[in-house]
Amino acid sequence: MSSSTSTSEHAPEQEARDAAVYRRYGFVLAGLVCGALAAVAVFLYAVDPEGTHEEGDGGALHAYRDVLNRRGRAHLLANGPWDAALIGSSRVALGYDTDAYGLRGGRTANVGLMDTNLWELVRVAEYALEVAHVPLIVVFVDLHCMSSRRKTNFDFERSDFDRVDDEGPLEHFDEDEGELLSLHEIERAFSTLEARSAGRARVGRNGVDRRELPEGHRYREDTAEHLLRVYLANPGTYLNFEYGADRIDELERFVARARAAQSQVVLVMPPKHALQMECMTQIELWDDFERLKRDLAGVASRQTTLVLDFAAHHEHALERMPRDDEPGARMQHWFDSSHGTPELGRLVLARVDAALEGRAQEAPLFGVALDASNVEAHLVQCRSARDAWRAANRDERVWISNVIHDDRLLRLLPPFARR
Amino acid sequence: MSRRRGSRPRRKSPRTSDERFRLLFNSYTFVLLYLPATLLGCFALARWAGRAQVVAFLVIASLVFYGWWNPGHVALLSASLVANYALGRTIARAAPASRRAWLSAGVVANIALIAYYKYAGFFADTVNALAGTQWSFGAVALPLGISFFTFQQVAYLVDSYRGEIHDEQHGFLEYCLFVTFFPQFIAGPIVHHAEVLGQFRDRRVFLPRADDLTVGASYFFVGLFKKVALADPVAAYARPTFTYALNGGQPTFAEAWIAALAYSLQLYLDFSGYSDMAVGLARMFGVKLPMNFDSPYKALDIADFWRRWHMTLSRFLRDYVYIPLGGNRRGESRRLVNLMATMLIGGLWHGAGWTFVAWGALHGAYLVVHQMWRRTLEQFALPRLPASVANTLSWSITMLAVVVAWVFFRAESFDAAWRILGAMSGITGFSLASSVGRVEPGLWILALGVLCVAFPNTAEFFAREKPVVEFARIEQRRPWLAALVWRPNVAWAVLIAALGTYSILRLHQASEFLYFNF
Repeated sequence: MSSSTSTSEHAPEQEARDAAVYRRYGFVLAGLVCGALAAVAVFLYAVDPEGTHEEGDGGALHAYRDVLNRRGRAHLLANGPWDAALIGSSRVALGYDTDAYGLRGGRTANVGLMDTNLWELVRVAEYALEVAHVPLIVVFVDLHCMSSRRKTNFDFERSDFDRVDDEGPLEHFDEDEGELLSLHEIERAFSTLEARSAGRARVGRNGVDRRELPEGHRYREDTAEHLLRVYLANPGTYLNFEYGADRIDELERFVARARAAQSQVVLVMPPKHALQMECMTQIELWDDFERLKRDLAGVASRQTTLVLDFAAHHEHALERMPRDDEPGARMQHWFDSSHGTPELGRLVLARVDAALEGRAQEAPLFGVALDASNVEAHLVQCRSARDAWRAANRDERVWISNVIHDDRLLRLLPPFARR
Repeated sequence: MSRRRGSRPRRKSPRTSDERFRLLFNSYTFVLLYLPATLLGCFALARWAGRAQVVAFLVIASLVFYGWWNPGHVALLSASLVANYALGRTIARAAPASRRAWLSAGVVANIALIAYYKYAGFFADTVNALAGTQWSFGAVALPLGISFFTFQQVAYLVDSYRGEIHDEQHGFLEYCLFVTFFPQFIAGPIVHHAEVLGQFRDRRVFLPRADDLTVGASYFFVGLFKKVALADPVAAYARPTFTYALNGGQPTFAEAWIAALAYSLQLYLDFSGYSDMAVGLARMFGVKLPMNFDSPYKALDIADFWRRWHMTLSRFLRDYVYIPLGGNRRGESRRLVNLMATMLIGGLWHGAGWTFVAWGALHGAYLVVHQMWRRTLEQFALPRLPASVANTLSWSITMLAVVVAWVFFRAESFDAAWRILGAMSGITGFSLASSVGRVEPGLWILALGVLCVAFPNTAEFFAREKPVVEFARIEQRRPWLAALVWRPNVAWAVLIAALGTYSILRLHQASEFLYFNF
C-alpha cells in the first residue's frame, strides 16, 4: 500500500522530468531545423541565383548568375521596363548582343530559350505583351521549333511564363518563397559565387548568353555534332519531324492580340548557314521550310505585320566554314551552321530597324519582307540561290551526306529509337 | 514609348493543374503555414476554451484543408457527413425490423455517390467499347479522398447496425472530426470509429504536450524524408519506361525490370511515407492513428503481405466485405470465391480501370493459390525444406508475384502492362540496354530494397513511444529492437533535424502522393 502511494507521489515528478527531456529534444530539433532553414533562406536571398529579388544586390551578381533558363528569362522580362524584346531559341540567346545594340535604340531584352518550340515561344510572347507590356516584340521562328511533337520543357512549367488565371494561394507561396528554401537553388547559388570568383560572366545585362567559343574550336566537328545530336537525333525535331500547322494559327492569334493592344510584332526567320540548309535539303525538309515561309507570309498579309526572312543563301550564309585542321581559323558570323555570332545578329537587328522605319533592303536575300504577294517569287529566288550553291559546293554536299549517315547518329539516338 | 513596369505574376507550380491546388503534406504551405497555424489554434482553444470548440476548430481546419483543392466539393462532403451521421443514428435507434432497410439504403447511397464520381466514366467507357456507343456522363471531377471517406462512413453505418456504436459516445462534431481529421482524411489510414472517437474525449488529447509534439514531429519528418528523398527520386527510373510502353514502345529486359522494381519501391515508400506523416501529424495533436504498413516487403507469403500492406484497407475489406460475404464459414470453395471477390473489389476501389481490376484479380488468385497450397501441405505432410531455404524461397516467390502485379497497378493500359511483363519475362530478349541507365538505378533499387527488407520500419524505430493504435503486438514481436529505438536525446534530434531540413529543402520538387489518386 505504501509502495503504491509512494509511486503515485513520484509519478508527477517523473512525468515532469520526462516532459523536460522531451522539451529539450524539441528545442534542439526545432532550433536546428529553423536555424538551418533560416540560414539557407538568408544565403539564397543574398546570392539570389534566380535573379528574383532585384533589390537584393543591386545587380552586382547579375552577370554571374545562370539565369538563362525560363525562370530567369521570365524574371528578366518582368523586371523591365523594356522597349523591345527578342524571343526565340538559343540562336537568339547566343547571337544577339542586346547590350550593344537595342532595337530603335531602346532597351531590348534578349529572351532566347534553349531547346524551345513555337508553342512555348507564343506563350513567352504573350507574357511579354500582357505582363511586361513590351511595345515591340520580335519573334524568331525556326523550322525546328515547328514540330507539333515537341513537348514543353519542365523548366517552362516552373516559370512565370506558364502562369494561369485560376491560381490560388498555394503555388504563390510555394513557388516564390519556396525558392528561398530549395536545395537546387543552393547548388545554383554556389555556382554563381564560383563564376563570380572566376570572373566568368554568363549573361549580359539585357539577357544575352555570354558564352564564348573555346580555344581551338572545331567548327566542322561542332556543326556535325549539332546536326546529329540536335537536329537529326532529336525525336522532337527533324527525326519524326511533323509540321505543326496549328502552331502558326496560334502565332497568328497572338499577333492579332498584340495589334489590338497597340504592340508591334515582327516575325523573323533567323539566318542559317548554307550547310544547315543543305542538311535540310538532303533530309527532305526543304518543302516544310518553304511551307513555313508561305504560312508566315500569309500571317503578314492578314495581320499587316512585318515578316522578315533571313534564312536564305545570302552572302553571310555562304561564309566558308574552316576545316578542323585549321584550329586558329575563326568564322566571322557563325558559331556553327545554325548559331550566328553577335556580329551577324547586329546585322539582323539593323535590318529589322531599317524595315521598321520603312527603309529598303540593302543586301540580297538578307531580311526580305515577306507577304502573300511576293512569297512565291522569293521562294523561287531562294531555290535558285540554293541550287547555285549546291552546284558550286559538291564537297560540302558530300560532307553533309557523310554527317547524315555517320554512325555517330546511331550512337546518339536513344535506345528506344534505335530498335 | 511606353515604359510601364511589368507586374509580377503569380507562378504556377510544376504540378498539373489539379495537383497544384491540393494542400499536400509535402508542400511549403502545409509545413510552414497550415500546420503551425492549426496547431496553435488547437492548443489555444484547448487551453482557453472548451473541448467542443477544439473539435469544431479542427473540423473547420480539416474542411479548409480539403477545400483548398476544390471548395465545391466541401458541400458534397458536408452533405455526406450529415446524411451518414443521421443514418447512423437512425440505424442505431431503429426497430430491428427496419434497421436492415436503413442500412441498405445508406450503403447504396454511399456506393451510388462513389459510383457516380469515380466509376461513371469507367462504366461509360466500358459500355462504349463493347457496344460501340458514344455514351458519356460528361466531365466529372473526382472529389479528393472519396474512396477513403466513403469506406470510413460505410463502416460506421455497418457498425451502427451491429450495435457497436452508442449515442453517448459522440456528437455530430466528433463524428465529423472522425471522418475529416486532416492527417488521415485524404489517403488514410482508414480509421475505425472505435480507434479515435474515444481519444477525442480523452482529456490529454489536443493539449500541447512535449512528448506528443516531439514524437509527432519526428515521425512526420521521417515520413517526409521517405517521400521526397527516397520515393520521388526512384520514380524517375520507373516513369519513362511505363510512359514509353503506354505509347507503344517495347522496353528491353533491363528497362522493364528496373521500371517494375523502381515502381514497387516508389509506391511503398510513397504511401508508407504518407502514412508516417499522417501518424506523426495526428500525434502532434495527441491522437494515435492505426498502423498502415508493417514492412510488407518482408512478407514470406501473400497472406502475410496483405497483413502488412495498407493494413487498414485490408482490415476494412476483411470486416466489411469478406466476412459479410461469408468468410470461411461456408466451406473451402466458398471461402476461395469470397477471397477472390474481396480482392476484385479491393482492386476496383483503387481505381476505375480494368488494370486495377486485373491487379485485384491477380492478388485474389495469389491468395487462392496460397490457401490451396497451405491445405495441400497440411493434408499430405510433404517434406519440409530447411527454414532458411524455405523462407528465402517463399519470400522470393512472394516478391516476384507482388512486383508482377504492380505492373498492372501502374500501367495505364493492358497493352503497356503486357509489353513490360513480356520484356521482364525475356520473351522479347534479354537486352541489358537501358535508356535510364543501369548502375545508378541499380544502386538505388539495391539500397532501397535493403532498407525495406532488412531495416525496422518507422513504427518499430519509435517503439518506445507506442506511436500507433494497438502497437503492443508489434512491440512484442521484435524485442531485439531495443537498442535501435528512437529516444528523445540530442543524437536523435540531430539526425531527425537533418532528415527534416533536407526534406524541406527538397519540397520544391515535390510531387503528389500516389494514393491521392485512389
